[in-house]
Amino acid sequence: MPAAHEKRTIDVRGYQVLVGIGGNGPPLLYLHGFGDHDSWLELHERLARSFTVYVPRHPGFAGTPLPDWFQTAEDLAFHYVDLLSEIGVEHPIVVGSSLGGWIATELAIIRPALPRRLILVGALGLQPKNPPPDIFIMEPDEDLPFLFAAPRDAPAASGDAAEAFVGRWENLIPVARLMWQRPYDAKLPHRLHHVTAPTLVIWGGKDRFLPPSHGEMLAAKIAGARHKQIDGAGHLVALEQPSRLAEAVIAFAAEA
Amino acid sequence: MELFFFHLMPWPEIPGNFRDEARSSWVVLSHSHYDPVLGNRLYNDYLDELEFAERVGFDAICVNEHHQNAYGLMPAPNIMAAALVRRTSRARIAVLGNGISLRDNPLRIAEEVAMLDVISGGRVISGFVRGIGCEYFSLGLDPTQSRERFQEAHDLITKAWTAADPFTWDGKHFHFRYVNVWPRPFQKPHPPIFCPSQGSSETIEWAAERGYPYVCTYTPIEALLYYYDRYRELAETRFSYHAGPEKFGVSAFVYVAEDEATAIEHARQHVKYFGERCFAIPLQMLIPPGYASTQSLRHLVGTRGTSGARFDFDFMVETGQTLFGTPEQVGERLTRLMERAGAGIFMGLFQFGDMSHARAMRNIELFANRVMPYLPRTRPIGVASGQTA
Repeated sequence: MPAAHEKRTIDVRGYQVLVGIGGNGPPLLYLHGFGDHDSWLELHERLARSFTVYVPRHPGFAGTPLPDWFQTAEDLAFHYVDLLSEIGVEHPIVVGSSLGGWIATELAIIRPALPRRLILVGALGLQPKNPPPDIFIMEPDEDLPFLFAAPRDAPAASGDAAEAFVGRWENLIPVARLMWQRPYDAKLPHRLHHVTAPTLVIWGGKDRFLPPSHGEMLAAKIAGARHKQIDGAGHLVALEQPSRLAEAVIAFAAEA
Repeated sequence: MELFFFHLMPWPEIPGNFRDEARSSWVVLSHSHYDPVLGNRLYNDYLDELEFAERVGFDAICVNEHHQNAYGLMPAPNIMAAALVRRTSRARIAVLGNGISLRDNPLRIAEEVAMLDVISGGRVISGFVRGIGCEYFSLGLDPTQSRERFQEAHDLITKAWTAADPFTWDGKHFHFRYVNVWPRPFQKPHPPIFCPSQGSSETIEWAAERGYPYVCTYTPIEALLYYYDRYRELAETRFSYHAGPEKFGVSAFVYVAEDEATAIEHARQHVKYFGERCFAIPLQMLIPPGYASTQSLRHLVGTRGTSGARFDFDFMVETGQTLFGTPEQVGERLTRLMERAGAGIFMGLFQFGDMSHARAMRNIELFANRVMPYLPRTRPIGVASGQTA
C-alpha cells in the first residue's frame, strides 16, 4: 500500500519552499541532486514506510527563483537549518544525493548535532582527484544516460523538444551556481572533522561522474564513516536502484 | 546610412570532419589545429583588409572579442584596435565589443579604451558585450552571474570615465579602494557606447534606457524587426525619446561579383564554411544555464528551435543576413534591408568563412567602387576635428 504524501509550501525567511512530505516514523530529510529533483520518487515512497520523509526542492529548481543569498552549498545548508526549525523537526536522518550530499555534508559541519545519522550518496563536496566531466556542455539527452550505470534505463524527456530543453536548462541554473566554477568546496578537508553524526557513504559501483574511489576518500576523511557500494548503479543511485538504496538507509538507521 | 566594416578574423582551415573529435569549433576544438605561420599571414591579411576599408571610404572599422575558438581569433580586441589606430587616421575604430563581464578587473578596459581614444584623437567607439555563452565555458565564469557582472562593470567603467574625482567602488562583484583611471578619454563625456546583442529582452530594455545604439547580430530579419520595434516602443513610452535610425545597426555578410552566378557560388561556399565550421555551436553552449532569462530562452527556441542558430545559405539570404549579387543587386538589397529595419548603421562582413585575402579585397573594392557611391550616406558620427577624409 503506497504511503500517503502531500506537498506543502513552507515559508523560510521569506522564501517559499515546496516540500514533499509523507510516511510515518522518525523524521528523514532528503536533499536531492540534479536528476532526482522531483518532489516524490519511488525512493521516497519506499523510505516513507519507515520514516516521515521530507523532500524540499532546492531554490532555483523547476523555475523557482534563485535568491541572491544563494551562492554556495553552505548557504543552502543554513537554508535547511532554517527550514527544519520552521517545521519543528529537530534530529532527522539526513540523506543527501549528489549535490544534495554536498549540502548535507555542509549541514553536518555547521550543525554537528543536528543529523541523527548522515547518509551521503554519490556526494559532491570534496575536491575530486580528477575533474568530473562537464555536464553543462553535454547534449540535453546525454547527461542522464551518462549518470546511469545502464544508460538505457535513464528517463527520457517526454513531449515537446523545446519545452524539454527549457525545463532541463532551468534545473541546471542552481547547479551552475553551485558548481560551474569549482564543483567542490576547497575548505572541506579542513572542516570534515566537525562531522560527528554516524555516517554512511553510499556509492554507485558504476558512477562515471565521480568514481567509487571518491566515495572511499570521502569516507576516510569522516571519523567512523563507512563506505558501501551499490553495484548496478551509476551516479544517480536514487533513480537507478531505489529499492537497494532504501534498504541500505533503513538498515543503517536500525543499527544500534 | 553609416557604413561599418566588420571583421571576425576566422580560422580558414577547420577540418571538414572536425566534429569527429569535438562537439564545437568553440571551447573544445584542440588548438593543435592552429598553425602560427599561417596565423601570421592571416592577422596581417585581415588587418590589411581593415586598413583598406578605411581608404575606400568606410566610416568605421570594427573588431570584436571571442575566446578559445576557430571562429574568430581576436581574444584581445583592444590589441587589434591598437594595431589599427596608428595605421589609420580617419575612420572610427569600433571595438564591438569588449566583453566587460568577462574580466576580473573591468578597470583594465576603462584604461585600455581610454588609451585607444587618446592615441586616435577620439576615433573610438566602445561596444560593451557579455560574450556569447561559450565564453563562460572557456573562461570558467558562472553564466548565472553574467548579466549582473555586465551591468556592474558598465556602471563602474562609465563612472571611471566620467567622475570628476577619484572614487571608491564597493559593488557586489567588483571592489576597488582607488578608482583613478589615467588617461582620461579623448571624447567627452566618453567614447560612444554601442550594444551588440542577440536580442534578449533584458538587454533591449537596458540599451533603450541608456539610448545606446543597438545591433542584433546573426538575427533573422523578422526577429530583428521585433527586437528593434521593442526598443523604439520602450524609448517612446518608458524613456521619453524618439529612437531614430542612428540607434540601430544591421549586420550581414556581403558578397559582390560582376555576375550573379559567381556571386552566388562564392557567397554560398563561404557562408557554408561559416555555418558548418565557424559557428558550429550547440544551443547548450550558446546559452548556458542562467545566461539569459527563461523568457528570452523560450523566445529563442520558439523562433530558432533547439539545434542552435541556422546558417544555411538560403536561410541566411531569405532572412537578410547575407547580401550577394551584382553591385546593382547588392545596392538595392542593402538599401531595402536598411529601410525595412529602420536602421542607420550597416555593419558589413566582407571577408567571412574561408574566403581568401585576394577574394576579400576584390569584394571590398567592388563594393566601394560600384555600390558605395549610390548609397545614401550620413555624416559620420562626431569625428574629431581635423580628421576629415
